[in-house]
Amino acid sequence: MPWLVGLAAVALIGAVFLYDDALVPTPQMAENPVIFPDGTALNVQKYEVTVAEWNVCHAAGACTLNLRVAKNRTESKMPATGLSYLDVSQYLAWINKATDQNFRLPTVQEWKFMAAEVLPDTPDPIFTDPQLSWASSYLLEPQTKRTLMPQGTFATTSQGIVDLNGSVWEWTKDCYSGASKRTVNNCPAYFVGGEHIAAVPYLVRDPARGGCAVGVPPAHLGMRLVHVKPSH
Amino acid sequence: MTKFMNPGLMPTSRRNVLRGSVLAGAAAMTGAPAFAGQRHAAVPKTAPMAYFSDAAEQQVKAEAAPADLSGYTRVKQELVAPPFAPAHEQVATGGPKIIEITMETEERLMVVDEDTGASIWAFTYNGSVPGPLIICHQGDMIELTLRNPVDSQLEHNIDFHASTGALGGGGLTHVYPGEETVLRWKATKAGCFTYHCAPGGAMIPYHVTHGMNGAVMVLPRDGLKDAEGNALTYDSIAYIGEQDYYLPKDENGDYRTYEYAGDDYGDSLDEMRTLTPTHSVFNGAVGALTGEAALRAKVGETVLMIHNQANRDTRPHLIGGHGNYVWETSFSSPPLTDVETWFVRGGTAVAAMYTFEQPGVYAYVNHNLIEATLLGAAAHFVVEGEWDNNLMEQVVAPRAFAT
Repeated sequence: MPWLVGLAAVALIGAVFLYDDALVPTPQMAENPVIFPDGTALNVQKYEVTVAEWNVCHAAGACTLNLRVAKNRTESKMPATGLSYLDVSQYLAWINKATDQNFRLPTVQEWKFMAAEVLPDTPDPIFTDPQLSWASSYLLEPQTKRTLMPQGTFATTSQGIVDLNGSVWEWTKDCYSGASKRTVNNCPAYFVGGEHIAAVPYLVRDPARGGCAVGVPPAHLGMRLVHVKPSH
Repeated sequence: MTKFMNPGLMPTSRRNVLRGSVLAGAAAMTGAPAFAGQRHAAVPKTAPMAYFSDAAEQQVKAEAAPADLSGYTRVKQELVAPPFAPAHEQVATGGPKIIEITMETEERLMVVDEDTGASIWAFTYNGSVPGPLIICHQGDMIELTLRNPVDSQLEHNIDFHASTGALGGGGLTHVYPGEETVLRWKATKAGCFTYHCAPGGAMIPYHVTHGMNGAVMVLPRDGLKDAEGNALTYDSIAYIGEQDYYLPKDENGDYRTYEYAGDDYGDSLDEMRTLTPTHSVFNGAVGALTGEAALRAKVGETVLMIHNQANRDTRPHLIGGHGNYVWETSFSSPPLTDVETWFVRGGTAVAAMYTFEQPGVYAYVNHNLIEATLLGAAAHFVVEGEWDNNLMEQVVAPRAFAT
């Protein structure tokens, strides 16, 4: 666990942390915090975590995956994707140790609220019969945003948060444990935020299309950090 | 109707070179791969020394007796893009027909999976993968005009499994860019049959795995029947072509892109040799028959699902439904009944009939579920109607149980 040994070496130098002799990029947060109806504020990472940021974690030995981008792409401009909930958890543990901050994933409610202004309206369910609730969320709307694109391709919210409506679905911290919504320690699936909200098993890195699953699964799985705005 | 999407129209020297390679020639006739080993970078820039003689001079002097076309009525069939079927009669009226159809061999750049950006210079009949469904009755003749657009890079032809002789017509239909040919053949066998491009040698699987295949349905003149001879009719046809693609990747594992149709030849053959497709998709691309493009039906409606696979075995399954009647081979044998999963021998088209009894969403898959979910072989039916609790009911919704 290198970060425990190296923690003392972490020092703030300008916009980066020096950690274990590696430069840890400080997550760039959106210009303005998201203010919720109850008055609480949340700082939200401006872009999704990039491949370049992710690979610092990998280089530190804290993230298993070593990500790469296609030949014509730049690591610092491409969102890190192909991430399971387990992968995302590794990054969170590392970035918090490395920066001595309290980043976390958003909740579903937080994600929906911050993204509402750039998301399309939720389509009407295609079936209303309660017996067909299992099929009612099937999407017959055209899906136009499945190709992985560089950051900044999609919309920006009034707080300055970019790409919430893009082709990357972002893990939230909220567990989906089934229709009974009971609390479990061994959470089998988490919600992800994107063009629609979906529940994805924690092991999945690539939610492949097709097969038995009803509906159109997310195209790519990535992450975006948030932290509670420090009170002044 | 023709969509000239091929940027290869511009570089004439390149086209000339390919045209010249016809000299290598007759290649197509002898089965040798005409362009084997040729890579884009290695293409010489010199113009060919000579061209093959005119098609007219190639015309074989007819010695066989002319066809007896008496009693036939000429009709035109307007072909439509999959998953749809052309207008047709299920039970033939009147005498036998000569059905005139036209197909263009269009080479077009198609996205196979928009998630990864994987794409292919597909070889198509009329611009779609699979090529259009052709429907006739036993005893009819199909008269095909096959046209290769002038901006094409490659030669194309067609082998109809439903036909008899000359390599299924493949030996009589080689058309080079800017050429057309007309082939007439008689549908003597009733059933669903594959057709595909077969220019010769390694070019055959190269063209077939680039989308150049489709199906003909030859109906019995008095329509489909069960084993007892009772008439079976359908309300709609869902025409599904399953396509295995073998897309080359670069050293990073990313799918390669190519400037012109044909440029991927050497890389493709290497990839095909693995016999492991990178994609197996319905109607040309991942998700082509899902979401907004999902197939539609209503409870009580009968759909005839025609599944074509010109290259490789597959096993369609309708999740939540069945194949009430399945003709795996021809319409001459009685159909299998109440089938859970049916078998499509590579190089075959199969018809399966089902009447929907419940509303909802059905997944129609290749029941090698790895291929269905990871390679793309899945379609969806969205079916409207009233739920029948007698057939199925959720007695207890998922709930926590006491531990």
